[in-house]
Amino acid sequence: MKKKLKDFEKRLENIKYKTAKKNNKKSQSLNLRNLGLYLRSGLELFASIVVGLVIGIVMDKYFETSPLFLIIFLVLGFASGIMNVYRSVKKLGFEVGFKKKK
Amino acid sequence: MADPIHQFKIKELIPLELFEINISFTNSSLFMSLAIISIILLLLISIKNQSLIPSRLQSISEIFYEFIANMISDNIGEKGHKFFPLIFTLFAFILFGNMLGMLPYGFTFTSHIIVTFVLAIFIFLFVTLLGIFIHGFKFFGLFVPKGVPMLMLPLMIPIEIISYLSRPISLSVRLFANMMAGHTMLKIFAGFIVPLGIFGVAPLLVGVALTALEVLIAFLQAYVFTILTCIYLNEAINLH
Repeated sequence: MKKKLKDFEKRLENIKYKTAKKNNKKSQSLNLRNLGLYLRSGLELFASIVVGLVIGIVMDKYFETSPLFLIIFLVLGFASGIMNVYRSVKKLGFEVGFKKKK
Repeated sequence: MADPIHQFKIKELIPLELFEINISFTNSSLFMSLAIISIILLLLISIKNQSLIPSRLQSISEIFYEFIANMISDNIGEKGHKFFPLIFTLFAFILFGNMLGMLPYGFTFTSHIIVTFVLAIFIFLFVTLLGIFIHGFKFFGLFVPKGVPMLMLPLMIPIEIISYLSRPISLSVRLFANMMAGHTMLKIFAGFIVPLGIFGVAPLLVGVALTALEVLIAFLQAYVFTILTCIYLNEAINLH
């Protein structure tokens, strides 16, 4: 009798452990929001630099000051890219570029 | 070996020209029409025999509806439900485009940058105009981050403007790059199966795993595109 009880306890413990593990795994894999967050952060840097580059080139063409604005806006684009990545990783807000109210 | 890029080629099915502009009906347009037709058919058929206890087909459209409705409630709030048709259409169109591309002989129209860029630029313009329409000149307060000292503003405002303008690019490139890279990779691994003979089992197994991954990516990218649209809409509507 005692042996059976001990056996049962062991099995119960085992099942509890397994379900806990399963639930833990499930909550991790189903977190689409986080997955989307990580997938996008690398591209943020690229997009900002491209925008800075294009603004710089267009302004240089218009004012004929090559390469002054190109340099300025490339640096600004890089800065905004880093800022976007920082914000998205720090979860200051899912949105690009703007700090959320606390 | 099969050319991995060949699958993205645009073929003119019905050549058409209007005022010297090529408006031919291509395989891309065919799959866009197919996506729209299949969405409409799915929704129409699934609500045909409505019952309190939904059939399998009916629960598909119910889950579909609730998924988008929850997304809007979570990200925008009450005011956002005016834009439900926009968000729902966008999500359904991209999701079906991605999924139709996963079928054999399918064509993925979202693997072309021009398609995703047009979607992104329209969202960008719509959100910006909506913000100006609702908040007027105040909307540009978005470019002035809170808690920044006055001295830093000349530096911070250009940075914020660049980061605002980078949205349509990052939005469109993300979808396009994911779809194109995934399909190219699938094709490359599939191309190795036959030439390797008996060892072709290895690329075959990778191909099977990649197909599953691609289905996940196809869903996830549609989700990410839609949720970012929601977030941009949220900013335009509920300016911080």
